[in-house]
Amino acid sequence: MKTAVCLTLVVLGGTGGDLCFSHAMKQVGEVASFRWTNLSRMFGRAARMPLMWIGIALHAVAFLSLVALLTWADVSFVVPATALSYAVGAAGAAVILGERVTTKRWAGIMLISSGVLLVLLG
Amino acid sequence: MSAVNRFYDEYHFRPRVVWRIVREALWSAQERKRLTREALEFLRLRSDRRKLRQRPRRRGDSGMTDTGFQSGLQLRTAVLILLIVVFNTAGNVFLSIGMRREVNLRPGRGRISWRRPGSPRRAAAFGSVSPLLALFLVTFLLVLSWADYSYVQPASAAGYALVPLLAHAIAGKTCPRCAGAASP
Repeated sequence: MKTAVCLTLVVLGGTGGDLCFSHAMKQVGEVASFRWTNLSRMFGRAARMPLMWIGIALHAVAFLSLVALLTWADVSFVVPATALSYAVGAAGAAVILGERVTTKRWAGIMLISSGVLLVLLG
Repeated sequence: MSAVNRFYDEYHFRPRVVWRIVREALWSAQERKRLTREALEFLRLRSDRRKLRQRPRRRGDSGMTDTGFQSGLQLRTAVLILLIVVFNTAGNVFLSIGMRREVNLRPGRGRISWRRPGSPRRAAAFGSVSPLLALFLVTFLLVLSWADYSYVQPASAAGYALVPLLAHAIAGKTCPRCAGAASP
């Protein structure tokens, strides 16, 4: 039971945080060069966006749940099991961010999810 | 674009057509004005097409007609996704090692304590985690500034095959679930 709860928090928190990051970084704009001054300016702009801080909070929840999970479960179980976030993330990206998720991409995500099922049954 | 220019040139400057147009323009002022106006418009359009072909690509363009730019974008994306996989995998493995060795978590009582208070190995175990996970976050955010999230996240799935291998190599753990982990 505790494993299922922690896993749910990890998946939903992590995916929600990533979606917030993606939306915030698209608003900041594409990185023009990888020079230190440009990167620091870019991350400074990102730090002033509320969506970035919401994403950080969601990731904090996911991280604490992951850390708790790792104290009693094997890492070779936990990390693949959190791959459920791929399906949730793709659905969230299509619905919330309006991204175009192709059939090939969905097929790859289903392959990953089947690997997760194999891990959970193992 | 050069093919388009060549097509229009060969169509409009056929010798028989050119002779007909010039013959009509010789005897009519109105025809001369119309011909002059159309010739200037044709040359302006030709010049615009040439400028469009020569304009420098902006990074926001899809770059579909510029294979050099497209392959550069793909290379940049591939390199950063590889770095995401490496940093995330190493960070998770070292975090697991550190938590197992150094932390007592009793969920029923909700208490967390250190197994070995003041252990120098704790600093080493956790000290290696923070920069790795920070680098993972930085590269992840950079890629998200131009790439779709629904592409970046599955593309970094290679880490799941790397985790059991790294865990086995560093912590000596056996891997009964390696078949499932390797399937993505």
